[in-house]
Amino acid sequence: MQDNLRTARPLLYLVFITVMGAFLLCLAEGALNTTVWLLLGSICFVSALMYCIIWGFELGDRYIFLIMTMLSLMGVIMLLRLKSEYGTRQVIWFAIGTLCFLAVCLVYRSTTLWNKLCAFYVGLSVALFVVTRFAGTVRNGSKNWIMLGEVSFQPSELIRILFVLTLAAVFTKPLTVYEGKNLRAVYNTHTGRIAAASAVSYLYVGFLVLQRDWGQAALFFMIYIVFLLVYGFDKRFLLANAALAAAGITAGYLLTPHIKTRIATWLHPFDDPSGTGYQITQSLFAIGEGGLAGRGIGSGSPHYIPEVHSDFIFSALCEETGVLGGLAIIMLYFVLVYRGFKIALSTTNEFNKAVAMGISAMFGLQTFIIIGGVIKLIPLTGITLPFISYGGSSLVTSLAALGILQGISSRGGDIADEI
Amino acid sequence: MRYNNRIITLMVAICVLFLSLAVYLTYYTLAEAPKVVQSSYNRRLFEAEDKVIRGSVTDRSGTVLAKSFMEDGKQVREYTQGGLYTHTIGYSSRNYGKSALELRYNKELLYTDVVSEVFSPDVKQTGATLRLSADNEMTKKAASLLRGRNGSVIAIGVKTGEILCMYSNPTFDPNESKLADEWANLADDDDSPFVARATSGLYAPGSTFKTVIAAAAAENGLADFSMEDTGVVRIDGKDFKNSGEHVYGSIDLKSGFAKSSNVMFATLGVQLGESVLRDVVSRFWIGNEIEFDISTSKSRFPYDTAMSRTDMASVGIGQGKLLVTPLNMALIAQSIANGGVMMKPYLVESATLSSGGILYRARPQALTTVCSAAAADKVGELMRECVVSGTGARAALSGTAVAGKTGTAENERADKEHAWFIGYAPYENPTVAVAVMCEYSGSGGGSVCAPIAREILRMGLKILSE
Repeated sequence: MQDNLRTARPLLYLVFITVMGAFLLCLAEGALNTTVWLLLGSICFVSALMYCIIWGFELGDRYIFLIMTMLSLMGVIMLLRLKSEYGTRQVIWFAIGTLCFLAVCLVYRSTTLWNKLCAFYVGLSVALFVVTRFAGTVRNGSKNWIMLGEVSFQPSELIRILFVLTLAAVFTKPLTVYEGKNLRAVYNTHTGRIAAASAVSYLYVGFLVLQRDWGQAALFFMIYIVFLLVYGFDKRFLLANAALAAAGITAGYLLTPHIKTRIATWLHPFDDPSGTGYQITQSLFAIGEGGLAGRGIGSGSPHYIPEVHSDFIFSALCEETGVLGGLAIIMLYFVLVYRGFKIALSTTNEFNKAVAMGISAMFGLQTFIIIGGVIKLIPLTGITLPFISYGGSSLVTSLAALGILQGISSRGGDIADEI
Repeated sequence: MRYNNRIITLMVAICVLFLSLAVYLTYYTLAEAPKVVQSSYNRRLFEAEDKVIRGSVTDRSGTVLAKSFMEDGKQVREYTQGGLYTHTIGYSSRNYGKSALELRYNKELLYTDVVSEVFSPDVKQTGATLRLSADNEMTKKAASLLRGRNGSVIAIGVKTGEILCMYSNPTFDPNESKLADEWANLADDDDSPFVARATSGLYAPGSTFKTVIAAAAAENGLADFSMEDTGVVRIDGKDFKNSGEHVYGSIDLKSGFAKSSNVMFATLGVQLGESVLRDVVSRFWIGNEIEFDISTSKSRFPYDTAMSRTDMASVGIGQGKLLVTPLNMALIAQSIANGGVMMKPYLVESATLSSGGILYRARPQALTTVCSAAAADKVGELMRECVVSGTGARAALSGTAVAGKTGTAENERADKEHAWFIGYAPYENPTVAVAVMCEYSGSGGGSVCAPIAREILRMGLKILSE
């Protein structure tokens, strides 16, 4: 009996949040809204089902999906409160994403060719970049969307996962000794691998800069640095990168008014609160008015914040659930990333270890970039908050990445049961 | 497995990133947010106004200075006295934001009883009423006395720190309709009507600063200082002359102060030395923030490196890089009158709920001790002499002994000195202190400001004796 309770406890937390969220949403609206109960209930149901599948078929770590559901649930509650349409669509994306998660997990776990597809990853990524460059649509100043009929998606979200796979493949492919001075021989030296990884990384960052997608560019660059630190530790390259990054930022600062404005707005947001500093000051007002305990779901005014459903959703959550709510979200991300690293550490396969490390670091850094941006810890660069922000491409690809992590954990020996 | 150690290091690094998010978010909410949300760009400040009628503001006797009412389903804020209180009460406008007390006391002005809200949810509640310590008649008088001149008039209760009158010129009408017409012109106006001179204006204090130097002299055994005034003193190659190139001959501290001898006070500045000057300046709250109901500028004493002898001489006569706010000078007069104890100034006396309950009441509070009681008495004696026989003669009232000090401060515009007068009355048992400042007046504090101070003191004494 006690054992059963222990098993069900994480699910009970989820049910508790669901019931509370639905109740508060109905209270805010002043009417019993069955759609809300239905939507939140279905997330809960899907999650419970996944929990049973992962448990029953021994698919590895039982907690990452639950943690992710908790985050998504907070996101959906907030989106339903902002605009019920957003919430409804997000739940649909959540369902699609969950199927994607399961499919990726099962496929990844039953095949071993992932480390051999390096050329395919690069080819597909470059093709997607080129298509975005020429056929992309501009949103919020960044040309990073592709329209496919009614559906639009952000290729860079997918490319990011391919990028992690690419770097993992480049760094963990065993070095074979070749005679001569041809390209293959160079590629099979430690320095050669670092050079190859650097070339790919700079190419991608270059594309993202062309798209004016600074948040993604920063994230790609940071993932590259993480791989370099772990797998390609080479002082010359690190120094060269530091110098290049410094030069890049300085040049960007001097040449593009955009970066200059971003940094100025970060340092002195209240110099122009109705112009360049509008987004960040609105975010700071929201968080500030929320205080410790928040103004309550439905009692705040998150609509003053631009892009509140995507990049700035954390500010809205802080306004209505308080800094305590915000800290809870930060902690959930931390636990998720921690579980990811644990999977990386306990995996024996070198390639899978690198992928698990890369995906965990990716989630951690992405969270840091956007939360740090909206609370003014670091300059603001637009990027979605994984699992919480509104948007199909972000949610589905993040779930796919989580699926890879799940697949790795299901193969990689025992993951301890406790958190 | 060989990369596990590095992965653990990476994990720790990411831990640190998450920790920094948590710490900064907590720090921001606890330390910075309370100030940030006061910004007039925060539209949440206006939300309550859809449900609550903004409270009124009255003067000390209950005369309504600002009130809100409904018109065509919209709330209108009316300032009954036009521009008289623009720099103290401020404005509350949906289009232009909030300022001064309207901003600082926004929560109180929109505060309603939970009880009445619950029991009569459909009746529009009214927020708390602010009662100021300022007197409307006195403020009107200050405005009429200052008319045509840019500057400020401050009167303050000696024992309490209550502001009896605070007026800055130029000003503008804060009523919404006028703001809409005038805003663009106001922003471009060379006279900067947005600057609340009394609290935010920074000026050289000129000879009024000799009060502070005299206090330092009294504390450092120089109360009996005397010298031969030849009309000019040369310090490290720089000449310090008396106003009008007067030669006063053999003078002591009393006559030197009354006649405002620059020769004597430049010499005293050097004799007191750097450490005494720095100490006394900071005790008189220059360089410190004055906590007040309206935001204030800090007076400045920007000598970051060692002071030269000419710097010390300049500070001795209230010139050099020294810059003060009129409010700071009013507090200096108040603290001399109050035996060396500077009171924390306040303008809002109370906030009363529409149901009659008291939400807030100001309590007189000492801010700091600027000098010993003996030194304050000595300076008071000098200030009395200044009005009896010196430059401040035009501040004298019949029947009441006034003490004061004039000032004529040189600034970046030649022949356009700032005129000053600080003082208090009655000399024997002080109740009201004043600071009057006219910027770029081009004439002396004794001729321009002392007569204004006299009228203000006369009214202040009458109000406080009622």
